[in-house]
Amino acid sequence: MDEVPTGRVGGGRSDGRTYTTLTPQVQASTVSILIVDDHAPNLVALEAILESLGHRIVRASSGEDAFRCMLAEDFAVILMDVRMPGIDGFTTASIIRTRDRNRHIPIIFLTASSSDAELLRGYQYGAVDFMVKPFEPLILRSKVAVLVELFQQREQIREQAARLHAAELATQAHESDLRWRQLVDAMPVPVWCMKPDGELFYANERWLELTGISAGNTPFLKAIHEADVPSLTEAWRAAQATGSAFGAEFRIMRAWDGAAVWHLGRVVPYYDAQRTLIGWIATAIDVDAQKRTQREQVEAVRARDEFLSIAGHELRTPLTSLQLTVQGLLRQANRDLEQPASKLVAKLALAEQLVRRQGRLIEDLLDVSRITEGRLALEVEEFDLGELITEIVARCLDQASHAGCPITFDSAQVVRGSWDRARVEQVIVNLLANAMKYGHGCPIEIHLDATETHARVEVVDHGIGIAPADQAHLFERFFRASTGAHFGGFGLGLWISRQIVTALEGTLRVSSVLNEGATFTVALPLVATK
Amino acid sequence: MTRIVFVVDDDPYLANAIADELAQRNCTVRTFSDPLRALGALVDARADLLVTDLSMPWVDGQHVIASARARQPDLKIVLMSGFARAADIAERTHVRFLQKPIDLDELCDTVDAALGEGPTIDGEPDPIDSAGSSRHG
Repeated sequence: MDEVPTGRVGGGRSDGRTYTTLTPQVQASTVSILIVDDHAPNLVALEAILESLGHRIVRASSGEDAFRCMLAEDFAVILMDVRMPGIDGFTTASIIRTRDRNRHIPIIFLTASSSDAELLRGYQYGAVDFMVKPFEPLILRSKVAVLVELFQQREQIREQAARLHAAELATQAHESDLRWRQLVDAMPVPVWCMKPDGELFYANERWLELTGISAGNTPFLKAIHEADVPSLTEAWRAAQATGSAFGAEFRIMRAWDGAAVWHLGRVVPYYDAQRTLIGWIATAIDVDAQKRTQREQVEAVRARDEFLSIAGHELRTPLTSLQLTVQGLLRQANRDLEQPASKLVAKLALAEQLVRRQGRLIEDLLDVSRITEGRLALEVEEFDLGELITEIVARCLDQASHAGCPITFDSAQVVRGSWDRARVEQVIVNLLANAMKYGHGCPIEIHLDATETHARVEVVDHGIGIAPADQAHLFERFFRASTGAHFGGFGLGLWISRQIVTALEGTLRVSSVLNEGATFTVALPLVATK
Repeated sequence: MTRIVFVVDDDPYLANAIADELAQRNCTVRTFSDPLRALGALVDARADLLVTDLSMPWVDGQHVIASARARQPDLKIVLMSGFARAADIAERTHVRFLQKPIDLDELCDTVDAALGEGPTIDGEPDPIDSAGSSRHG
């Protein structure tokens, strides 16, 4: 056991700062210093010398005690007495050195002997330095301070390296994430990721643009048309049960106009290394146009079938009357050869009317192909429109009386212009027939006037009117307002009329209030250019 | 004995053609192109037979049958239609059926059979109808 000369300790204490600022760039932080000596007063003296360094001093009274301390924490420097009962300082040092963790801890041996043999042995056991008693406190402090500084630098370098490594990893992860997002954002289709429960946690720009719904705490089903939610949920549940990908068709609600846009989606599960479901990745492509075409085709087929059924019925209607009339004529002729000619003439006149009616129906059908094939030829001549309307009204008197719709015609002026007389007649007859059909037994008015450039004919009825939703489709081919009642006709009259008026460079418009009637207005340029 | 027949069809040509023929067979025929007017006429006047179309504006033939029966339970009825499905409706509502286009012989047979089904009670017909026209054979 060596005595520490305590009397000289105070010499360097006032100068504590010197040792902590050896390398100012190193940030001072508290480290632990282990002092090992079996002699308690020596420990006190050593602590007194080192106290001014501002570090934590840990005392150990034996080699075993030193091992215990080293298990609990790391030390920057160890000061060890060489001569101790039990395990001596050198043996303690050699055991300390066997642990990887402690291999580089600087050890300063405190010894009373300065023999070369002792020093050599000490260095063999990993000594960094020796302090031969009695030693100068200032020197001891200085040596310890240098070693602490080295330790701190080493620690700092290690921390910096760790930080650098972490930063590199973060940069790599960030770059990888960025690349992934850029890739996904560059895709022209919506891509989104969901947690297992369907909560949206990532979505690409296309998704955001389409749905206006940003990721985070939102169930992705919020973007789906409510009518498609049940089937999609069911498909998803089935996929969850088998853990497999699935495809489905659904409508995504478009943010900017609220339209429901058909998409074909594919939803794929993704797992972690332990095969635990982390979530679902989904993509969808817009199939709205295909769907629309499909729907239109189905609708076109339906309209065609309905039209064929109606056309068959309509074509048969005059034939039914004609057949009865002709059969009646034959029977009458056989039964009673003497019957008055007037009776026969009346029946023959009726038969002729029915044949004409049949002819008109067939003409309407032929008009459809003429118009769709662009073969509607116009024969333009100058005539008095008021005269034509007067003629038409006179011809319709019977029909009007049957419908219970008296027709009045007023004209503010003589209106002459150049149009196709037969086609204009067809338009006005169509509008009048329409007014009588839907007029509900109320009067019908026709007004005629003209501006400097245009003639204008208004056909006004006070019948059942047209629902606003039906007005938009009124001039479509085969269209019939869904009144639930049977009104007869092909459903072609207004379409043909508009096509004719358009060919004459005019306009045909409707205004109507449901249950109050309808007004159809034809405006024709006074001189048709075709 | 003159039988009173109401003919209801939105095609006045057909109603008139039927009326012409039935007038030859000792029937007083009234034609209606508006079924509502026919039903209105049945409130005040009796008829032996109602010949009605199925598809008409405002009121469907099935409704005409039900309403006419409610007004006059023993009324004989013939339903006419160009639609084949109408035969089922006729069967369901226990009325005779005429498929359009109508053959004159078939019309006469069907009308005779309907009128011969059972005794009809004599009733004075309303002499004037604003919508329909009357013909006497």
